[in-house]
Amino acid sequence: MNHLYDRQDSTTALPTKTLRVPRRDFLKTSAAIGGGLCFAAYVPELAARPLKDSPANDASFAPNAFVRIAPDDSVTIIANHSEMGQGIYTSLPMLLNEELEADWSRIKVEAAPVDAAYNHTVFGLQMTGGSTTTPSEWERFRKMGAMARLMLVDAAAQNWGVPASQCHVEKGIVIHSASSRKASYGSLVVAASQLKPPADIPLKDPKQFTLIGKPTRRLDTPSKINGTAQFGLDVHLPGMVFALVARPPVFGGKLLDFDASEALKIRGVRAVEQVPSGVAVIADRFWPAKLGRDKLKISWDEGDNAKLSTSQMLVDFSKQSASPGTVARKSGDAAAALASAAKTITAEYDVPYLAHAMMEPLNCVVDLRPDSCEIWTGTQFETVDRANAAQAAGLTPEKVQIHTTLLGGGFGRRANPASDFVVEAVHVAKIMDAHDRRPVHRAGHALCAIHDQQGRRRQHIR
Amino acid sequence: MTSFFLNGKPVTVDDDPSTPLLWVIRDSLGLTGTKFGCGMALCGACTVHLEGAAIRSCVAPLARVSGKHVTTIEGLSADSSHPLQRAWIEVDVPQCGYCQSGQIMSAAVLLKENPKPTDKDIDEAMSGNICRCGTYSRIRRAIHRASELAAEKRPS
Repeated sequence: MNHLYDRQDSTTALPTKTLRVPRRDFLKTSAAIGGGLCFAAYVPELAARPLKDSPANDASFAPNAFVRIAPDDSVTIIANHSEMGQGIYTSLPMLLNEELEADWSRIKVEAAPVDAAYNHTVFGLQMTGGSTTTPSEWERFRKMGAMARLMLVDAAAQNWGVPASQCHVEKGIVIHSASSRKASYGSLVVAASQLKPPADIPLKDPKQFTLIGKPTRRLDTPSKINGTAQFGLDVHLPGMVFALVARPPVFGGKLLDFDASEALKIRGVRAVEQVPSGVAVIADRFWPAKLGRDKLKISWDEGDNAKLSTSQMLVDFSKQSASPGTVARKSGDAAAALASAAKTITAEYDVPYLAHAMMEPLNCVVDLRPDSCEIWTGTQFETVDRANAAQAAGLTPEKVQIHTTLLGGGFGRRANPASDFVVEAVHVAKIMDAHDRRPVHRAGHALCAIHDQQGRRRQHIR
Repeated sequence: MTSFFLNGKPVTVDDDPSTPLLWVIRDSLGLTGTKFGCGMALCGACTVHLEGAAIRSCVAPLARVSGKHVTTIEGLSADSSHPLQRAWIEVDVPQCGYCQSGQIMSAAVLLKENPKPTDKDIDEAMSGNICRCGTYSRIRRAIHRASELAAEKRPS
């Protein structure tokens, strides 16, 4: 059951611009289910509603966009932030279940689709970064869990004709001690789905916490020790082809010319085409695409950055460090103190360029059809990726959906304002759509994956 | 056509014999637990067993495994019951998890050859497996723990 409310259209452009809630309604809702500043800083009622097109089984109880309870007592928590090793596929369920009080062993986690309901409570777009997941969801996830618990308890109390205040919950079982009656959450999903969400959602006093603050094993570990965890690179769809793109060896470089004749001789290579970011080699599998890319003969205009070097940058930084900078804070008179000091010590430190290199190379799978675009990737920037993918595909953002997979590391590299790895995959998919009419594409769509990362590419191309 | 044994079962593929085993396992045979990290035998994410020895599948040509036995993370145990897998859960080793198949496969060979490794033995044996999240101290602890679990299983 997930049709309590119609979802507001929340799919256009960046969500910061979708704040079209009349001020009076906004205040009312904030007062009702909001509370803290974080909670009121975005559109709270979106989150408090189930998604109209959520994949929930109709038999499930989906009181809001973050949790579903099935008749078999299993609880699915919908994570709107990406798991990249920081553990939020465990900490977010901990927040929610602290209030829901379901059986922890029945908790499952599912990645959220892209929707304004899942926007970051502070930054106003769907994203993961800056070590902000737990603090920014600290209140919302507990509220969403508490909302579900209150409704399930109400459903049981109404069935039994007793006051809800006489009931309590233990591991997903509602109990009325006075009459020794019990009902599992799963048995209450239909009744709870008929109820309206409560206006007042009180939260536990932190002293009552039984889950938050307690050492808890990660929920994702079992899948990460037997090969079943699904990262972006593990997404294999029927009929999928693979592409690798040769890009300029220098940022800002441009393609002058390329010769694909040798690449096209590799068994399994289907096409070689120019894309905005370079030259794409499209093949049946990864390996022929890689061999094909190695065989490309490309001339690049490496541009102004061709002469840029680490040693020259260090010299420039060193020079700049000796000139007055912007004052961040002034306290006392450092210049005078240094001038009158008996002894001064001068040292220069430098650190290497920080590469945000993940273990899992950037990759993206795109299923582009005439009126839709479905994307599978490990990303930290869903809202932005969707907008950029839509633009590249010539579709409106609501026609683009992103399935966020596990991330083999993020480190900020997967939160790219230009969505480089997503946009590139869309461009390759467009080529396949227009160019390749061989049997595997008779369904009229193209699938492709881009596997690449900066360091490796450079070695292959140069 | 090249035939070999993958996790105990005979398989035959028509990939070019020069294709790295990694891509045969992942793309042709559909077992994605073995990971592509660097493609240059530098990171260890693609580690599998060839006749019981740890190899980097990203640089091992298919021809090399013809007729031989290859084991991937999926074949280490049928039910995550290998002492290393149990220890990995107990110690909660993985973070992003991407390198962990390779870490476990390398550790499995270490424990087979050296059932009671010291910290130094572990550091040396595991030096070819990189973890960008930095789970090294837990990996070390889990290998010690797996050593204990394996000893409990063995009759004294």
